[in-house]
Amino acid sequence: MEAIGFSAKYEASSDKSDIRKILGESVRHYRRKFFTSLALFLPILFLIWIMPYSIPHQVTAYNQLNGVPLYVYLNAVFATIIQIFMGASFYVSAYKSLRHKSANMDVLIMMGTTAAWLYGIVMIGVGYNVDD
Amino acid sequence: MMDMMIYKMAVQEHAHNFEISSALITIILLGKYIETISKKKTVDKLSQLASLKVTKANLIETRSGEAVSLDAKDKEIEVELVQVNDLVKVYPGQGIPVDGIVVFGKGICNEAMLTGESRPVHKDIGSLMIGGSILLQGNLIMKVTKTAENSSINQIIKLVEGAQNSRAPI
Repeated sequence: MEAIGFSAKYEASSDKSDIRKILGESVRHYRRKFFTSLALFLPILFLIWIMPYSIPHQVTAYNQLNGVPLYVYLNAVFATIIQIFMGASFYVSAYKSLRHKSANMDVLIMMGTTAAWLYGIVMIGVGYNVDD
Repeated sequence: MMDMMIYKMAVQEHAHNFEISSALITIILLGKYIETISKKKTVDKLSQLASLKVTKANLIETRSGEAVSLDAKDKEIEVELVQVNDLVKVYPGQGIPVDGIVVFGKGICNEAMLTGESRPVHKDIGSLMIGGSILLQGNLIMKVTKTAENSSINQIIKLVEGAQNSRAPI
């Protein structure tokens, strides 16, 4: 090569800094996602375990639409946000896995959580027993 | 009537499961978060290990029949281009680029990063050189026995990488 007037230069393959940047980005991504999810989950715990025993009657009474107490509606709002926004990536992953006719962990997770969440939503739609 | 009673009781007992779905997703996200942290730590360790690797080698261009000597002219090339049976010159203070055998010269080598031996090791003609160690004193010419890809330090990096990244099958 050099004899015919061209100089060839070998470039070393790309350095490691690239993958470290990608991983640092994904650590930040999951940290943000986890703490957002936790921040939405804590109100649910509060509403379930503390609210019914301490706070005013109108929150826990079966007096709202369909005879469902107000705190259940609030729970539904928080749970729906988590299910849709935090679970979106799991839904995508589960869908991709199912398209290739195999089931991974995400399919399991999303089947379980969707069943639990959908049950709550359907029960609100059906309505609670006011007499109790 | 009876059916209606049972139905209403069931509704009352299992009012909602919102905490279950939310808790599950939150905990899985925590797991993913921890997983990425450990992955990042592995990559940091690996790149520390990879920094031991020498990137340049001084290749001696030999013509057939010519005797090997330390005066031979050498040319700096990337270590990935070194091939088996090439002759490589190592200067004092330099890292050994790849595994090889000393064919000319003497030297003292620090192999602590690979063997843990704290004392410098004496190298003479016929001694094995480990890529990644450092030549403290002396000048020598070595014959390459393994390419950069197959050198011991690269093997160690590959093993660590494989051990950290492989998962138990579910």
